[in-house]
Amino acid sequence: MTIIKTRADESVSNGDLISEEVEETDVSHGSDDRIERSAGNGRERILDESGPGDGALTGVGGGSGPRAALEASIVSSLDVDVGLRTAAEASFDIAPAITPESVIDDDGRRQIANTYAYPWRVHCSLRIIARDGSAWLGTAFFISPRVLATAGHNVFINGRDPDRRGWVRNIEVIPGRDGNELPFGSALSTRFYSVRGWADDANTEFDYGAIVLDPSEALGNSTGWIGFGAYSDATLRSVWANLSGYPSDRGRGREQWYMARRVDSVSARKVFYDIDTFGGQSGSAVYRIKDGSRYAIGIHAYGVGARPLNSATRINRPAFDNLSAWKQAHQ
Amino acid sequence: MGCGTETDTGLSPDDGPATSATGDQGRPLTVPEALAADPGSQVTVAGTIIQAGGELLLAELLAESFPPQAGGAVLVVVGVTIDDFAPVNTEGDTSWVDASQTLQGSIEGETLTVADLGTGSGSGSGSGGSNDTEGD
Repeated sequence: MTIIKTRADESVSNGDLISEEVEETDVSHGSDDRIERSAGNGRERILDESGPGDGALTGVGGGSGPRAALEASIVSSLDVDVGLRTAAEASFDIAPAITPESVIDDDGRRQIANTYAYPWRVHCSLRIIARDGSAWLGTAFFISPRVLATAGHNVFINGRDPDRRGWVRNIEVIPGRDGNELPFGSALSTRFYSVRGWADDANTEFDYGAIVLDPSEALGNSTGWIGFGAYSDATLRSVWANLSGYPSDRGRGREQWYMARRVDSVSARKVFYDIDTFGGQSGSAVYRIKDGSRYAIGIHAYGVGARPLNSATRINRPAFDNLSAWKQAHQ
Repeated sequence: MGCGTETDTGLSPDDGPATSATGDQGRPLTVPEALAADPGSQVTVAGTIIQAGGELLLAELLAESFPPQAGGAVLVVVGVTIDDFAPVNTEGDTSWVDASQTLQGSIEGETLTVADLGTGSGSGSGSGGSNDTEGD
């Protein structure tokens, strides 16, 4: 499916607009798909999953920091850290009686205990102050030392209240938060991006954006980041989607919870899955693992609606171009 | 009628709305489908109940910030209050119901007037509608 860039895909910001587009920096041709799983031996282990893997259209590699321009080719050796506690070792706090709006059947999320380790440290708890001063929680993930991808509704609120609607006032970004522990401190941002489709039209198919950190607070240099890619429908339908974020029903948005499932279905601008989520997880990376590297395929945004699936804004080619441009503009 | 199935109820104009609308195979309409329904028609529509700033909405989607935000198309719901649903979550000035709700009422523009609260209820729900258990 070819997505033509439209006016709705145009980047908008609460600061200076950028107009340049960046040529893709990496092209990945997948031969397999992988899922992040825990091995229980004190190390994170990557297990292969069978899959046709018909090849990525585009992909930008992530990095585990602190290097500034880490490419996917060396990430695989960094994300298998000796001594990591795994998700299998993390505590489980599942309340079976609770069936919140976006927890599908039994809650399959697992708490991440080692949030100071890669890749978990790239995922950030957000404390958002809206234009009217109201407080909100969300999630974002580093795609470069200074830029985090997130849901559009975390940076630009499209409510019916005119006092609230618009760019949020500020966002405190807290990488790898674990309860009251802030292993990388936090940074306050007032610089955001989204696209016209979201900011002007409130179209849920364009619900994504970015948070930019000040050069003096480039926390991504310490945490690393993950890549992102625009993939074909066939590839997306065959991959496992990993999602880690900060739900409010678990630790009030201060604990990181993870779950993975195969992608259920895709549309031109959305990815659907039955990964359990809850309020606060908007902006979480929905990512695949390919050749040991992590690539976001979508940005989680919505709980179940008329269909019993949760969904992310798909990183299609226009979204890929915007994320690349935002990343490039704030190196 | 924009979507769904139109049914002749056999009522005269003086008897009130002459059409009702549900989706294919009797499923509830989505919020966008309800918005496209003929003005004055009776609809059965499913969505998420959320109240922000004092306005009760039936939203197509629930944006998962916390508190959540109404996402996609929305209907303004009148004739019931948030207290007619249960259990209700509240954070700041936002209140919402976890499970997807199915409401019946008359549609006029973007307003859904719910007249009948006795359409059944799901697990622990009040009387405002029936839980759409598919969403749980």
